[in-house]
Amino acid sequence: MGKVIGIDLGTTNSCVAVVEEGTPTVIPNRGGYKTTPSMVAVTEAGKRLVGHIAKRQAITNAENTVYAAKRLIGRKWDSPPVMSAVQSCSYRIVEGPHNDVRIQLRDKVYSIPEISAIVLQEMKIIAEDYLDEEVEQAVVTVPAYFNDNQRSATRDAGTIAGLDVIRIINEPTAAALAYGFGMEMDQLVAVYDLGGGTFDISILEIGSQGVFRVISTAGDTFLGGEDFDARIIDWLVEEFQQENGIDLHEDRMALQRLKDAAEKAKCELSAQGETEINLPFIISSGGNEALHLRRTLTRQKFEELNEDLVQRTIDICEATLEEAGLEKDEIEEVILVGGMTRVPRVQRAVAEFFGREPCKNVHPDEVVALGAAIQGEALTTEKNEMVLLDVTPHTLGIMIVGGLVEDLIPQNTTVPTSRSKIFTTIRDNQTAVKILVLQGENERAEDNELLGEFVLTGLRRAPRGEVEIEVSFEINADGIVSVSAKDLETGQEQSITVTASSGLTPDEVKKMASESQDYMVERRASEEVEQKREQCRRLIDDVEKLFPKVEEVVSGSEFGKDALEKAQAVISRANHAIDKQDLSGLVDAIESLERTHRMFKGVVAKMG
Amino acid sequence: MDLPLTSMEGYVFSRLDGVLTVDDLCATVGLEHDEVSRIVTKLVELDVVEVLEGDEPESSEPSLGGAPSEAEDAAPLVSSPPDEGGDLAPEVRQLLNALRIRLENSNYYEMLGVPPIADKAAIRRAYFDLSKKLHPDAYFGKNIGKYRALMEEVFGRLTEAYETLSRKDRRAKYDEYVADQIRAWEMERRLRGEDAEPAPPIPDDQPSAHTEQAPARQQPPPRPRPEVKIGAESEFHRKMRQERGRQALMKLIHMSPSGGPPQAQTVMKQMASSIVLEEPKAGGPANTVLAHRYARAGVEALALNDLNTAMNFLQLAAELAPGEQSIKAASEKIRVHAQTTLSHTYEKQGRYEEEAGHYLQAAASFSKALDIRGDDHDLMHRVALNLLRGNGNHDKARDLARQAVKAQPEKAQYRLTLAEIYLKKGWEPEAKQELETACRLDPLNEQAARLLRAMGRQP
Repeated sequence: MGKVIGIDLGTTNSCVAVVEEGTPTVIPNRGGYKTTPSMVAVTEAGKRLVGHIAKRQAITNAENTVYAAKRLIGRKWDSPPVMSAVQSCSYRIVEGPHNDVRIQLRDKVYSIPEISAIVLQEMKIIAEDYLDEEVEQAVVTVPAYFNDNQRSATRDAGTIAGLDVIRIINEPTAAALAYGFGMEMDQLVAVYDLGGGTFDISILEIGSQGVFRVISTAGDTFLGGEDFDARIIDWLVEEFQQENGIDLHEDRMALQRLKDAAEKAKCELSAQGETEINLPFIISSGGNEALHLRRTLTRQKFEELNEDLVQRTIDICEATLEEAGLEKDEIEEVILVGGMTRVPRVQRAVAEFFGREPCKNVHPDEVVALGAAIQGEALTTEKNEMVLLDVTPHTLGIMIVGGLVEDLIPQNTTVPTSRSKIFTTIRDNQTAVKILVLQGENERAEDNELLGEFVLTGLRRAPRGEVEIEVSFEINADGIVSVSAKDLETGQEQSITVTASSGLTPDEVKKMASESQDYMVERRASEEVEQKREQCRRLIDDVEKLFPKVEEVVSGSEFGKDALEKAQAVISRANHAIDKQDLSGLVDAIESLERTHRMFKGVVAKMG
Repeated sequence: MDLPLTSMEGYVFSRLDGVLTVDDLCATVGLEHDEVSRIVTKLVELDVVEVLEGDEPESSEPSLGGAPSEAEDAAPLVSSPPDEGGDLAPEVRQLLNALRIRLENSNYYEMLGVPPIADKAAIRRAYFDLSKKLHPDAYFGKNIGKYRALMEEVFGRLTEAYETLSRKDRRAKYDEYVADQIRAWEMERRLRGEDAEPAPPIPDDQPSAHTEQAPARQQPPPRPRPEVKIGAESEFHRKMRQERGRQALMKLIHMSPSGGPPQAQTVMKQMASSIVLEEPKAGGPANTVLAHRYARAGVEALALNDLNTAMNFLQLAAELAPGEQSIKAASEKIRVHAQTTLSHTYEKQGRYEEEAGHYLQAAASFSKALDIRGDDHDLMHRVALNLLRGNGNHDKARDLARQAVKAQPEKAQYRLTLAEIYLKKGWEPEAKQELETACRLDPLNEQAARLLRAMGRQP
């Protein structure tokens, strides 16, 4: 059994680490770098490139170089983040089957997990070169706020890369793990993780016996360094547009150059007060004249352009603290993770908010991979040195009648966890039911993330509401959801088919909600139906008994004939409801019968 | 209860359950072996505990596996069949089995093995130590057979316990809830007339005498000796022991056994002054005279907010002189008040359970309150609402919701709940009607409006 590696699969850069003789170590690639760009390209000759070499030719081969695939993984085609990426990315993002997302490179179309798998495979090779042995197992990290689809897709990427992903762990938790490893101290920490594409904040308590417990976590899976870059790009493009009447967004190569320049400028502004952006021959004008772009960006302007993004991260921090039931001053250490935390404005904002200087002795680019390696080691060896108690970041529920969501496992529940609920059929002789499993905090089903539809077949034929099905939801230690169901009467576990989880659009979900065909409602006691039927029969009897008397009294009058006809109709509807065992029909019938009976009694009393 | 015990000793006493060995006690209460031995010895000397030597516990609650040095004292281990969970260490298996038994009827403190007065750091330590042993990850990729499911269940409960006790606000509410359970239990017993409490000492003629209750109690009237055996015991003794344990627990969490909120105390004072007792006929039977003395003592106790003692005295007085009307009336008055108090306690429990998301338990508690205060439409509504949320008996929920609506037709909230119940049963026309009424009564009610809109979208 080989070593387990820890991989930080980042939006912009990836990192791999391993524990060697008790020491977690980052593994450098062939070029000696400790991180590798998460970029994949296909050259004109059809050759596939990964990492630094892909980055180097990104500008000249803009259309066929993929970056920030992490922003797309596990998402649906018609979701706002994907739509926005389609607008701003230099590579081609296209729609796949079942509302999926695909990327087109040269003449081939790739799914997002396939792209990420190429990066993971590169990290695997880096590790194997260093360790001089085959690597089969890995722990891969994801943002804490990733939902189930994004996690599953990441795991799929690992499988495609030929890795057995033994655990998916959250990036802030991994960072805390690396931070607190071997520390043997009790501490309450906050991990502020602002990376290339995502933001997470996690509050953890660390126990000296090696326990790391997440209290609460939140974030934004579409907020990161790329967005800060985008602000710079937009600013440059806008001015250029005003001066030259050309929208640089249209030109892929120009866009790529701008992106590259923006990223460089951002990094430089961490060390200096201003920087020059110089892009000669950025584009040719209508008259084939070469245009140049040259501007100075001050740190102040940069901070101004990104003020709201920084503020958003602080707002999320505030909400997370409240969720944890803690005050700012109870936090004993703040750990900064991710390249973006090198930006002075970000550091200032964090220090101001928490009222303390953040911890300086963790490496923001490497700490996550180190944590992943430590967790891998812990899971696969006998040493019982530490345990991670993480939480699920999103509420899990199912759709119920009316298109609303019924919550089953709330947000920030410690995993692993499981809950069950009992459901039933809503039509007579319904032999199959369809459950929609949703993840998210919104009240309407279509506003949440659809994890899957489950079809449960082979139910026994019975009047509606009689079959009892216990559906159990489970979130495992990876934060991945699984569902099972059991027919309580027979005790058998019935078979479940998981249909394509990335299939449905919100509109389709809405449509399903209004189709009450195959959906489950809560258990309804069947004695009720029997009782109502009995009641109905008695009432029909009572009314029919009064018929002759009433006829006698009112026959001849129009009103009388009308009333009798109506009464007949009521009775025949009631009989119908009795036969059909239709509960709502029965309730209506009983009401009508009672009314009729009262009226008849009144008539008879007055006259007779 | 006036044994000269410290809080810690009282707590250890309350942990005795006829099965645990001294070693088990050490693990449960988190004290050293020497300390626990000392306490047990003291309890034996006070004649409240009997150690059955050589009695092997028949139950399957083996030692909780403390430090290795205590291994020799441990009760016989329960061995497991070789093919089930081979990779699971024996002491962890025992721990799991012991905790499984607790899942049924232990409170959070007992699950974690900490005293109710434990501070946050101690609670965290207990939970974290247990996590290292019982988190499924400790057995990642190993074969532990059927114990995996048990481990997840036990660990889940421990996590629930920690999540409640680790936050000051949640813990305060939980402590209050536990205290309420004990109060309710006590009150129930009194109302049923099951009082194992001894006959109180005869109050002197001097009116001030009974205020010194502590010394008065030490006087002769024989009381049933609370014998506690470690080993087999009768049902009566077990209940007695549980009661003492619970009283000890309550003292530890600093709750007064009979007080109640300040408002209730003023009510009792007023009630006391409103009770009129006749003077016994001079020269009448001795019992009657005694009865009147008791009765008067009871009323004075009531004025001092001691409801339990008041009930005690009045019950006794009524038994001694069944013919005396004024005593009967007073006893009845106090009894009714006690029941009302009990119903409020149940209601409080229900609110706690509701907030904690234990809906069916909440419905049961509110139901108990409703049994006493049958006209309270708010209680009706609360039972219905919790049955709805907890997926309980929908027919009962519907009936109660209907009653509530009938009692208060103008209350939109009640109609909303009824509508939701109708929806669960698939009675859409009825639901719609209630929702429309609710919206009319309270146009600002968002939930009703939303549900109505959702219904409107359906074909």
